[in-house]
Amino acid sequence: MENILEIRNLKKTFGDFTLDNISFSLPKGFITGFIGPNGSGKTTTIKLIMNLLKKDSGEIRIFGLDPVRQAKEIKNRIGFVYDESHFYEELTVEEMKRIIAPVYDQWDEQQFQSYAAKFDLPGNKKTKDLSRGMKVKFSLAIALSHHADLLIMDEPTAGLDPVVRSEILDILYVLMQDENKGVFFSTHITSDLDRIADYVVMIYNGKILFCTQKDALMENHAIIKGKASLLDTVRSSDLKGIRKSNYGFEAMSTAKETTEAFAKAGAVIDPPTLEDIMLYYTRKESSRV
Amino acid sequence: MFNLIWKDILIQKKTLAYMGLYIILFGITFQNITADPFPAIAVAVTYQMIAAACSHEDKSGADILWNSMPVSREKLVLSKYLSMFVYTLLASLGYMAFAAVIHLTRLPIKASPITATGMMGSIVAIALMNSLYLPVYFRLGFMKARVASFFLFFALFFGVTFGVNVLSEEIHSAQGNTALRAIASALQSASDLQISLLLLGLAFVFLLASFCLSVKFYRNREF
Repeated sequence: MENILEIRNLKKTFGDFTLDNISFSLPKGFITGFIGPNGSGKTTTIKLIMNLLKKDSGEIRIFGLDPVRQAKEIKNRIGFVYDESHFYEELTVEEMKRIIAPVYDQWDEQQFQSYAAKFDLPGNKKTKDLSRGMKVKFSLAIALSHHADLLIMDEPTAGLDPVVRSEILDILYVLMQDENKGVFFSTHITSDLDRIADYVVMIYNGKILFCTQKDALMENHAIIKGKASLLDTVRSSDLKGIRKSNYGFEAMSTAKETTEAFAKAGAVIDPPTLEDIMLYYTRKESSRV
Repeated sequence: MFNLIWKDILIQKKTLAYMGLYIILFGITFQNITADPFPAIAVAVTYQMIAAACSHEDKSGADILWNSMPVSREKLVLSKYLSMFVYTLLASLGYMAFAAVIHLTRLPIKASPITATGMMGSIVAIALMNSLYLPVYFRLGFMKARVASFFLFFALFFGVTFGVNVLSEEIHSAQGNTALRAIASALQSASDLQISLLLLGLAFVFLLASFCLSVKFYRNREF
């Protein structure tokens, strides 16, 4: 399978935070979710991919090209939506579009007008007067109007109401009917990814915890609840985020065999959501009385 | 490139509206200070517009936007340097309109026409000021550059005054440096236009060095 983005042993340190030799890749034709709690390194990784930060070491390849030496070629093929709007507040939507359009070799005005109509973008409204949802839609319209092969989105749905979020996810779903494109979608709202992601990469404290197909991830993980004594009798090395109390324990199993062993021993097994997986991977083990 | 320069003008629609007001205000204020107020007006207006453009970039975090697009950092730097000449042109047009209105209405205000020497003097001063300001801006960003450039201009003003005094003493003293005295003598015999052209050449060398420094700084910036 061809990769649209490859990251190998990428390292970046600033202050007390280190992105610690992370490696993962994005296959072409899929939506890859990038999850992790706030401050875990999602935005830093995206800024490194976009060459907004300089790496300390490691390698990034986008479409097989070097993002520093072949920046122009790569950025012509990338659409981006960031968590914050960086449009000039005093400019209208139309003025902003007019100064951005000439930058892209393959700007498609018809495509933009079609998205502008679909999103009800008010061309004569200043960007400072747009709602957060409208700003994201405007960013998305620009990102989708130059035939980008890779869409990079950093927390695009944060702070949006469920209706707008759903609209954006629908657009991504339609976009992915073209198998030559890829989407890298960073979020801490994992329910968005439950709907649309094909692959999931999880980062925590600057380290990649896993990079895998979402279906396989959901299949291999399970929430287990049972008597605390089971932890002594069943092999529990594949459990994450164990919490014990007087009534029993709960934990996340990361292996099918472990889940089956606990099931046989009488534990209750629940299917997890992506949010459960993120929470169990990041929470500290504890005992409660 | 055109869209980047046009963008700098578009984001300053309000500043442009005030520019006419600045020109009238400066035109009235400077008439008692100098016979040719145009250079001072052009420098003030141009510097004000460069600083306002940089302020808008900073406020919106536009560096992140532009650096995520297929635009080279060299181009972004160059657009700011070229904008400087566009602002000079706008200031000149504004001043010409001001002078024309004064002339037609016969108001008791002096508004001498723009001379070649005045225009060259303006370009030299504008080039020097922005050659100092822009590398600091591209290195530190707008907020820090504002403080740093204040000290830089302060140091430059006193540095130039001090330097001119030292050179003057050296030239006028019988034991002074012979090479300096020869240069001074050549300059004294040169016409105003020749001196202006010399200064213009020096200013462009300075501007080129400043541009190279700005590119170096901006290439290393992280956002």
